[in-house]
Amino acid sequence: MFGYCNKVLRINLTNESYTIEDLPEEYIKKYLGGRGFNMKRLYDEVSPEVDALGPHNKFIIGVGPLSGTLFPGSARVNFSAKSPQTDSLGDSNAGGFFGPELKFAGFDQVIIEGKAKEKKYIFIKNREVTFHSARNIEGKDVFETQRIILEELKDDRVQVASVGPAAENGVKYSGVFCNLVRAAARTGMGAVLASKNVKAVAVRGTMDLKAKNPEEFMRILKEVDHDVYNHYEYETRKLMGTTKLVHALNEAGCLATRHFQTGRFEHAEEVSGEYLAETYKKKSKGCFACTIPCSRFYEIQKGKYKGLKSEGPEFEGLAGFSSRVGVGDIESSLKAVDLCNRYGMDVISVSECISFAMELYQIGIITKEDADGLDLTWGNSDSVLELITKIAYRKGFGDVLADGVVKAAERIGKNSEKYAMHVKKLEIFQADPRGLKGYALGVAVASRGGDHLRSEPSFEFTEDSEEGIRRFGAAESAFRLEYKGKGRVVKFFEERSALADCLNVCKNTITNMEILPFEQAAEMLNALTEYNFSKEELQKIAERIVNLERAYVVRCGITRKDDTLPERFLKEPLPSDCGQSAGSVVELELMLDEYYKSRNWNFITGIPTIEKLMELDLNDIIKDLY
Amino acid sequence: MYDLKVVVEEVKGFCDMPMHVGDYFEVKGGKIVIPEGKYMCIWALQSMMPFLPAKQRKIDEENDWIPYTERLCCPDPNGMVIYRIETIDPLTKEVIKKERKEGDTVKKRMLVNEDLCTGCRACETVCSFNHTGSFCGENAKIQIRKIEEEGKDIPQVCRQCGNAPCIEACPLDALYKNSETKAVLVNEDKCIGCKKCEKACPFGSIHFSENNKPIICDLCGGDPACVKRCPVSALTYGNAGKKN
Amino acid sequence: MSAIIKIQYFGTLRLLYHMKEETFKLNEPVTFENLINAINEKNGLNFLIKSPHLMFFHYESGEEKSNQLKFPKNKNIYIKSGSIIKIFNAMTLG
Repeated sequence: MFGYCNKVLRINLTNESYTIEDLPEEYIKKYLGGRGFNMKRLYDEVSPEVDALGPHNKFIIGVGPLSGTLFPGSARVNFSAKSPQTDSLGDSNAGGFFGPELKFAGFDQVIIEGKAKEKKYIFIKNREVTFHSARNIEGKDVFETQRIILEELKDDRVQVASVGPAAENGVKYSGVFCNLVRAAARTGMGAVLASKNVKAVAVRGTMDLKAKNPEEFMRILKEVDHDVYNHYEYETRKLMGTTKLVHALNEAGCLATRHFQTGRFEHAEEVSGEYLAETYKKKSKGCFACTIPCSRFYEIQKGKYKGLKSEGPEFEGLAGFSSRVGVGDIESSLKAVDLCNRYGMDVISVSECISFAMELYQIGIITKEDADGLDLTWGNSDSVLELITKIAYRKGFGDVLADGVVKAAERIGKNSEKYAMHVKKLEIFQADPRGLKGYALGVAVASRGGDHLRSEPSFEFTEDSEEGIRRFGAAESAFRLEYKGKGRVVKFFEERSALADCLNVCKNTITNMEILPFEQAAEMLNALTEYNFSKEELQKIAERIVNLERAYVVRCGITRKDDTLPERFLKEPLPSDCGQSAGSVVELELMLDEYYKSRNWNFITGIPTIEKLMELDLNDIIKDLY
Repeated sequence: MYDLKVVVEEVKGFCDMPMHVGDYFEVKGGKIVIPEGKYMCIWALQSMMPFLPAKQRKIDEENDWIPYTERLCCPDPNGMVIYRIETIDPLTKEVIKKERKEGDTVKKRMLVNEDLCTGCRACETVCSFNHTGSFCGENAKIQIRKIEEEGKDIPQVCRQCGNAPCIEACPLDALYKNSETKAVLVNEDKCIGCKKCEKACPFGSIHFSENNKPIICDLCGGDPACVKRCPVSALTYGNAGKKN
Repeated sequence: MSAIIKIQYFGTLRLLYHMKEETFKLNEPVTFENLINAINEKNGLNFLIKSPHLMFFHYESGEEKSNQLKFPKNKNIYIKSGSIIKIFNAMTLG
């Protein structure tokens, strides 16, 4: 196998059988791998009318040509399906070790169809599949599930992707978890797997994955290593990963605080990544073959949560259960993230639903009685922790929140929907869009919904006017509070992120650090696989995938009017204590126009033009949109 | 047997005995002789006592570091008095200094720091790629054992033990040392796959291939690739106690 | 006349220097370049050369809002006594 395994596994749960198909060459040449493969499969095989929790949805696992190689961070895997949370495109991505193991087991993609008659877990080893009773792991948390499966299979090198009790209880934003804490969290892929009566997918591989031209591959890898080790971000990534953002965004005045009521948290220091590293971090942790180990393992040595230890957290979890809910106690945030990991839930969606409830409580839209007697005052960490468990088990008020913030607002009524911080039913991250205009645009247009990872336009932090003009035609494009050029910035970085997700390597490396330009990526693929790519072809593939995803969500009913942000970000200025971001709102429409122009999408409908679709060899989907 | 002279070489901390630089005692045959009017700290003496008969013996064995070691430190953490043990020819009274032969340098070995290992398995991947062309670390000569809930990542790799238990355990002399690098090598023709070596290794560093032969690190001939790839220096190649 | 200037370290520098903040007492007039040299001399690691994308937030005495400095672009800007300078890493999100 040179880069690609050239095989697709199709599992029929209803019949408990499987077939192995050849990977179509069209997939490789037009969709590259990973997310590209999954979106193509989703588009062709799961129509927008399908019930996301029914037997006709398909749970699709995809890895890319670089997964499982020596490329730094070549660890990732995509899990995709129609989303039960957004009723639209579902897709999530995780690091760790599952993706590489699937390559060693001989598959580029796995399609899981139908529904098992009883709860099972699936074991894939070297192109063979066995179905195992889940009686010993039913209802167990993610950590226990992995432990038991490794014991049953008598092999601690098996990689396990599992769902927790939250998915089994149908929580719409439950995820799929690898290596305990590596969460493919967003859009409810866990709920899809659980709806098929599958508790986990385990994989083990010992097949040979090689490079067609090993010397050339290593030559290019040396160049990549050099870029990585000399990058200005290198030391920071190793020391802090994404946790540096608590203090950084706090200073910038756009750290989500008390559900975006302001952008600065008075207890930022107590919940910062620096404090975490100084006080609780034991060592660094990394993904498969990664030379920038940006994760960490922590332990709490004393106090209320003494003995709590785990890999993690990253910024979204750390801030989600501290500044976003007004809690200044880092240990309770660590505990909250741990609960979400064990129950198997998306920390962003959970933290939004809880902070949403807390804001409604503050205003008086909900009362203590509505919240099962919980006091949802800002900063009440005990209530936060209790509510996480209630959500996971759909108990009482937890049930109201367990379908996502949009459904929660519908159930609560009383005009609460304007407080729901989501885009297209997917809750948004821990940064305030009013302080990051490029990210604001990216979140508004992302195919999954309120998602910052589709774009990651971190160029807007560089403040390099000359680079802004050179690369995006406007000095303003390099400044986070400016608007001009952001449409083009977002387009560019969406394609970098798409490249990363297709190769299936880390977006921190490819998108944020801008390692592996398209040209070098082509060289590397040409040394690794039996195929030949040019840098133009790779950019086109990335653009094609963004457009294919857009076409899918358009078929699900999305139009320009859905490319928007919650009202607060458009209308209410950030308060005066938010440093440089004070007084900011997001003026979205101009950025949106610029984005549509750069993408050649219809200004009114937001649909890719026929011209663009033809340019991208997507002729066969024109009929679906016009 | 040699005679010994044990001399105070340095007082790193503070000794309230006090012992002075230059103070000494001698071991002549079976006798300890302290100079008239002098004294010797009993704490230092009792901690170096087991070592003295070993230093007296005229033995020259492979992997024997005793002839080359001369210094001991007293056990008081605030005293840290350094004693030098000189071996003396009883007839000529000459101080014998055993130097390593030309070319007989202390061999570097694989050193592992579990507390730094991130569990990334880049080492497995590069080892396998370099030796077999495959990225799959299944048959890599280094394996990382993980206990994820505990955050434990344990590199299992050969440490080139001096008196290697694996070589001793092998009933058919199928394992031997590379004379240059001292890496443990396998003569697959002799090996019958009894797995006694795997059981004998105190570091769990031997595992077996599909065709039942032991997989043991060969140090890549003296320039281990895993060491170069490790981003946190959990693996180093050198001499413990020295800066590598 | 001495200028008392407080430096607050965040991110990588805080973890590499093992300190959150320190105060420098330098002879006036103090330029941004003077200050950078003083930090470099005391703490070593030649941090500027290694990290050209550091962000410097300059709070003048009593001011709530900062102005952002770049090095070496703003090296000749005067830093008055009572100022606080917060040093952050580049802010790429993740």
